[in-house]
Amino acid sequence: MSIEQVLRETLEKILASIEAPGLQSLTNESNLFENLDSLTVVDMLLEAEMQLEKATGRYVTLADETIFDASKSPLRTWAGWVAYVESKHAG
Amino acid sequence: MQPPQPRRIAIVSDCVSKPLFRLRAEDVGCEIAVEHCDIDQHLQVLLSGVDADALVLHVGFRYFDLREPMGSVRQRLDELITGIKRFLQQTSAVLILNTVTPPTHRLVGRDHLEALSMTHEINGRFIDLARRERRVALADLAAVLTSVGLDRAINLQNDWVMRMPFTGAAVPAISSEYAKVLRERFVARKKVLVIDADNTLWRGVVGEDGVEGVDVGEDYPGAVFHAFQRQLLVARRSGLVLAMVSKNNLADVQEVFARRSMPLKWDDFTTHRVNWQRKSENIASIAQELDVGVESFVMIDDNPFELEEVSRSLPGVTCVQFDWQKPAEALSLLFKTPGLSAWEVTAEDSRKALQYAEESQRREIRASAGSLEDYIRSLDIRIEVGRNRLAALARVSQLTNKTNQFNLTTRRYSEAEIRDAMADGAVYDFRVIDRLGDMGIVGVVIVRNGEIEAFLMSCRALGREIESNMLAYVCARHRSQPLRATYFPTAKNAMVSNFYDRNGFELRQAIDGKKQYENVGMQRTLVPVPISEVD
Repeated sequence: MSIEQVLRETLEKILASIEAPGLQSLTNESNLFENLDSLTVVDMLLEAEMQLEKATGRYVTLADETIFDASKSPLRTWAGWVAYVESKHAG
Repeated sequence: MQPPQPRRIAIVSDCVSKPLFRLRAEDVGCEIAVEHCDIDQHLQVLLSGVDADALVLHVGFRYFDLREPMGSVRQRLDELITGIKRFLQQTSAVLILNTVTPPTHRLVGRDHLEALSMTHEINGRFIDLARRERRVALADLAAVLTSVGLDRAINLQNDWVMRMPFTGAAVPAISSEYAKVLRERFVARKKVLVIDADNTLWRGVVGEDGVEGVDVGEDYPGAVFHAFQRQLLVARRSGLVLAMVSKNNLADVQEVFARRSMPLKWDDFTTHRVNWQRKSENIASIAQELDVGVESFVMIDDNPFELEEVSRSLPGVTCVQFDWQKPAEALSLLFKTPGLSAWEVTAEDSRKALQYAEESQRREIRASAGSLEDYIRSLDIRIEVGRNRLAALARVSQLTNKTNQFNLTTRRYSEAEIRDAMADGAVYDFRVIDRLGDMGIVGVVIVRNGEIEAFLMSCRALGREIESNMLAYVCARHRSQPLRATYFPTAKNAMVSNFYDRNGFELRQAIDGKKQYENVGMQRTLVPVPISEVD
């Protein structure tokens, strides 16, 4: 399973328990930062770390100082989030 | 019908608490509504109180920073304990604390000793509170995190960035521990463990391998079964009833117990069905014999086919597979199956297995007695009644939470709520004793503001006029004004829908099945049972 698939499934799981109309049809430009509150972001990151560890066998910390930064957060676009996680896992 | 009220849980934490409390009703065993207080506001919440059934006070290494001088950590602990004591004085909520983990790294050995000692002091004082205060429970998060593995459970970077020190590997384990503590406090415990014999109590099939061929010794793999039997014995002593259901020849199974040295003895099983019938039929028959609903049953069996058959026929039964080839899982079954653990064991719980055996004898006497009066006289029944007895607090609360059928209002009370009812009115506990044994406290009546707001009795005591004698006693104690009473219908209490009508109360109003009554004087002739008052 690709990293993008893992992230997509993780997001679907998180969205099952909250209202986030802006993320119903996900595109590369979808803005997670604006559509998820900070507690949900924490949830999503924990879940993504765990699912990625299962899929790749490696535990990688995803949160860094940019996550909650409105001008730098990789969560501002779906494509940016996927690229960010892929680079973390490649590093 | 009354919809069940969710238990209200407030949580104050030194980390983001939402991921820790993403609990579903099935995790806890009842509906819950969780309120997350602002982060790090422990003392403020303790001093201002909360409008909730339970407050979870989650503390970790942010709250107790062991890199600070120990004097300041101790001062923080003292302040917290003072706040906790004030909280317990001012509210009636349950308080849930947690154990903390010791530091794992050190530069200077003696400093590490200080930090270790401080960790023990924190945990020791929390344990002491939980021992002394009935309303304090303890989530053993130190054990949970050790089980997950500290390096795997804690991520400092996540703590700095998100105020969430726990990884996705630890969060479900922590949630489960909190769910377990809440369940132990607010949900009735399971009552009956239905155990298979072959490949569950011993390795092998007695009908094929013979009595000497089955393995239940001290060496592996027999040791797995030996250890499991010891666990079952402990479970029995804690109040769970053991019942054996096995597809076997009865004589073969009995011979194993007679000839092999094992922790469990044949008599440890309150009842058994060793035959070739479907297991669901046998379990239904045991439920009828013990007068216990199948939702209070847990079935443990090695055979997935048998578990599936029972699951389909009796969906209320919790079915768990015993796989001796995975010893770690097999020997943690009893601890991980929801509903089997209890926060504490009352005297009544400890005698449970014996009480069911006594009950069988009573049924035999009833069958041979000429009349109800003869039967009651032949048993030499007497009732002891206590009023507002703190010593009975745990049992009274337990009965209000587990009694479904003979329960007029099905109102659930925490121990704190019972304490409040004692302060505002009268809480009567009724203990029943006869020549066969002591049934313990089986009935509860709560009267407040001229109204019977709770009237309930364990179904074990039915058929002996106990309930009518209880009502007559309470009415006699409240003669100054006519007592009011209510029947609230639920899915399970139809058996008492006319209880007040039959006992001389007059119906005043009936809306949507809810009936309100007033006592106009007991008119019914009772078979009297001697009642004595106890302190």
